[in-house]
Amino acid sequence: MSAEPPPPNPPASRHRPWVAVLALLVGLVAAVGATLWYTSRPDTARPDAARDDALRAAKEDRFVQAEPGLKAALARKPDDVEVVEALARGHLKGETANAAEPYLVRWVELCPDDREARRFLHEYYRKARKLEHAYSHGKKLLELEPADTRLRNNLMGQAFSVGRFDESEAYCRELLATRPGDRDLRAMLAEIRRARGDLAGAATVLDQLITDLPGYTPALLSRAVIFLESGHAERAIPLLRDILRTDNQRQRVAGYHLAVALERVGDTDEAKRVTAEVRRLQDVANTEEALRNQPDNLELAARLGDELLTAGHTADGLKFLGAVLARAPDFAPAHRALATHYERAGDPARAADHRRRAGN
Amino acid sequence: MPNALRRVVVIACAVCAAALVGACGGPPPAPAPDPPAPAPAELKPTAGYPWFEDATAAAKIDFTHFDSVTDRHTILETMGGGLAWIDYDADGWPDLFCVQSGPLRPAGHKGPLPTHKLYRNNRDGTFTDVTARVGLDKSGYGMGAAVGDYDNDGFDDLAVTYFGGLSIFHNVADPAAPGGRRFADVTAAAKVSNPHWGTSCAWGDLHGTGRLDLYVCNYVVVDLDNYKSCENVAKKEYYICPPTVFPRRAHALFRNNGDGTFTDVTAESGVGAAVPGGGLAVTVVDLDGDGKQDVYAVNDLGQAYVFKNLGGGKFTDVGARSGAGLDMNGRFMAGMGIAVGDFDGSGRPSLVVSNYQDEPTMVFRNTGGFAFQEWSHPSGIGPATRKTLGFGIEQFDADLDGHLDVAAANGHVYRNAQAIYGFPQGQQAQLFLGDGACRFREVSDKAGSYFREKLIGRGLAVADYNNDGRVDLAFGHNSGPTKLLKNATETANTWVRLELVGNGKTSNRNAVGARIEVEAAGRKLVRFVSGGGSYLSASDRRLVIGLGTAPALERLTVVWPDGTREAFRGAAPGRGWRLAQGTGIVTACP
Repeated sequence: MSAEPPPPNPPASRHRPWVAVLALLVGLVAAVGATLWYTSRPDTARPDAARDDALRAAKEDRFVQAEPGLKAALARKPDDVEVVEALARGHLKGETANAAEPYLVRWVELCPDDREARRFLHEYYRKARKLEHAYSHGKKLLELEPADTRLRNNLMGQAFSVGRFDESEAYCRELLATRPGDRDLRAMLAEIRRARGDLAGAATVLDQLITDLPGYTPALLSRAVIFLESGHAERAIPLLRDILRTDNQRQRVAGYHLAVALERVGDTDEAKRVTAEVRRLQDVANTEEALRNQPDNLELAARLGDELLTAGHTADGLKFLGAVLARAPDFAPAHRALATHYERAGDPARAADHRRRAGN
Repeated sequence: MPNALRRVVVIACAVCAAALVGACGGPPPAPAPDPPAPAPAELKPTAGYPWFEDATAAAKIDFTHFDSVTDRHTILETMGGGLAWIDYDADGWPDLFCVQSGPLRPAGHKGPLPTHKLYRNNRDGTFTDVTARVGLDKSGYGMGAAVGDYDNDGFDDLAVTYFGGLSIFHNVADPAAPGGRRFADVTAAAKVSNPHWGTSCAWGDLHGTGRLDLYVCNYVVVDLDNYKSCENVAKKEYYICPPTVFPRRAHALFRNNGDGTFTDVTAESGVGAAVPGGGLAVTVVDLDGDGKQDVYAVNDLGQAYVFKNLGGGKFTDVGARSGAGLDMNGRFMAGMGIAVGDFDGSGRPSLVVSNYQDEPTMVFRNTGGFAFQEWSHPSGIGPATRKTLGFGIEQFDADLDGHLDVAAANGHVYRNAQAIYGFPQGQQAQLFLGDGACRFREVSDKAGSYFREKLIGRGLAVADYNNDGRVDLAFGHNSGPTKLLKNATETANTWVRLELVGNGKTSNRNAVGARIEVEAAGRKLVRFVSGGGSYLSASDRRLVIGLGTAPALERLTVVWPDGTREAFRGAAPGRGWRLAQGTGIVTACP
């Protein structure tokens, strides 16, 4: 057998090494240039990366940085749930909660069965006191989470607030079915019946509640108000007196309704006495509020003390004026007020002393 | 795909491309446009809801309330000014008067002092500023206004309150313009003096004389030379002091003597016997249906006055026993404004009182005999108004369904509310639709763009200024422009507009104190011509009564201020009618 000779090698170019080096250099320059160009471009020119960066920034609580990228991403893809959610959450967390609404709405539109989205929107409207909206989304949320008793409880109150008394009552009765002895729910049921114009129904609920829990003053107060509204002021009076005797937290409100009731039964003198006490409580509260606003204003404190004395609130007036003189023993307006008070009270010696210290 | 890997691939592609074309670069892609946030609900009229268009510019109303701001945050700076609809030329087209405030120290003010403005209605949707022509180019720290024909000459006069005063402007013939009218300041000649901080005021026949008397709310005593600012130490911010840090001033009542003069009867009437209150709003209306006009006046952090008219010029305050003197918890209200009307179909005037932030606007249902039922929460207004600080408030029938609705102007008193509370001073106005049973639902979101603007609302007055049967709104703003909102509600509901004219003898010509009963399609609607109302403002006393789908009125009865009852016939729906006492007939008006 004979062997063929091997093919000849191609003729070697004398420029070959230089071309290879040049190609390599061109490639390197191109790579470096492209890399520089790419990395120097704005994020918007590489949309997916910008979106991801923005989402990451949002998750890391850098929402101010993230927001432009998120908005750009949303402009490109309006149904991008992840971006909508990030915008909603970012605004809610920051100081721009008011701007969250459109994103929350969009989030819920895109994911109508997403409980978290719905809950966020419900809460947003509740805090913004857009009660109709809050209630509407709350109802949808309850459909998604029917076992959420707390939500049902909130919806009872919200339905009441937006005037859907029938729905409020339905929630209330559903809750009562599981907690029949709950005093707050029973009191609420009475309030709902009252709002629906059913004073008799409200009274029935309250009467039973008072029988079961005689010392439950919110029920006593509600019952007294219903007695007043149904023209039985005389029956409201003992209940209100009970509250005044036992509940320090409800002195003003019970006193107010008692004064109204006493006037309506013709006991004007007693009504005036009770009214004066209600007014005293209010005047003292107002005085304290005024002094909170201007704690260093001794003229104000002295004047308010004087007003309290003039209104017959002797102990309170003396207390305020005493506090003024403790800070400024020679404060003339306070001495003048006390001088006038003691003159009225028939104590000329003290009156003269304060008059002297007042400088006249 | 992971981000890093994606980047490598992109770079590799770029290298290949660069190698192929021998170039790097090229035009970068255009940046993505800044996208609009998803729109909430598109703002356009919604079937079944009222709709208001901002007609301020088109109407050529260019009033701006003077900004008297100082670094002391004085209480004056936040009060705003009133608005009054007054048909000063008696042409049947309401004109608009805007009360101006001014610098706290006028002597140091550079340039001309700002003045009130009167805009004459051109009957084509536009207005012309006629302030100087009619003599109302007056400066001062103006507050409120009331409109009333106190001399029963057929032309409405003006009372204007100031920080430190009260002016009576008498509507007189203009000798320079035959047939024209102008105003003469007759305060001194009328013997009216109220050198206090007057706020809202109201005309009403409180003495049963057939003439309008004047009730003036006085607020607190402020000494600008020795003003002590209030400071929130924690926030290091001054803020507007509450009224409780100032002495209160008793309200004032001026009896109309019938000869162009008035007598201050504050003391002898019993008005001065009430604990000085810090008054901000007043309405004159017959609360107990006994034929005598009573007074309901609210005080800022004081008990509201319910002055029962005992007759003979005597009044007694029954606020404590009425149930409308305090809020439901026995606390003082920060009463700013009052709306009065038959909201529940009882035929009695009930009351709505605007209130402070985090407090509900109060609703008091009139159950008769000076007894009121607190109804804020069940009405729906209470819960919806805790988020706002209310000032002007008025009732009207926005959609002509025969049920009274309520509009409210809102805005916080602190201009640095953002720094102190974290929310802006500007707040949205609100609109509530009534159902005739004293239940309301807020429809502000659907009522037009104005109701989404956050402004510092103060005065509010209503009038059908273009006589199209739909009641329009004018809102005043503290240190801001007056806004005119044209009611553009699309509805097939019918209406009548009634202008009552008393006989000028036993009943005042303005018929303040009249009661109107309309029966249509089996419904009976009761409306009142009351004095005062809202905050610092005066609404058109003409009444637009929505009739729903009723094609005609079955019965129209007026109980005049003097107690006479008169039936009128022939008032067909869809236009305005003038009802003159004693004639029994209606005459068409614009």
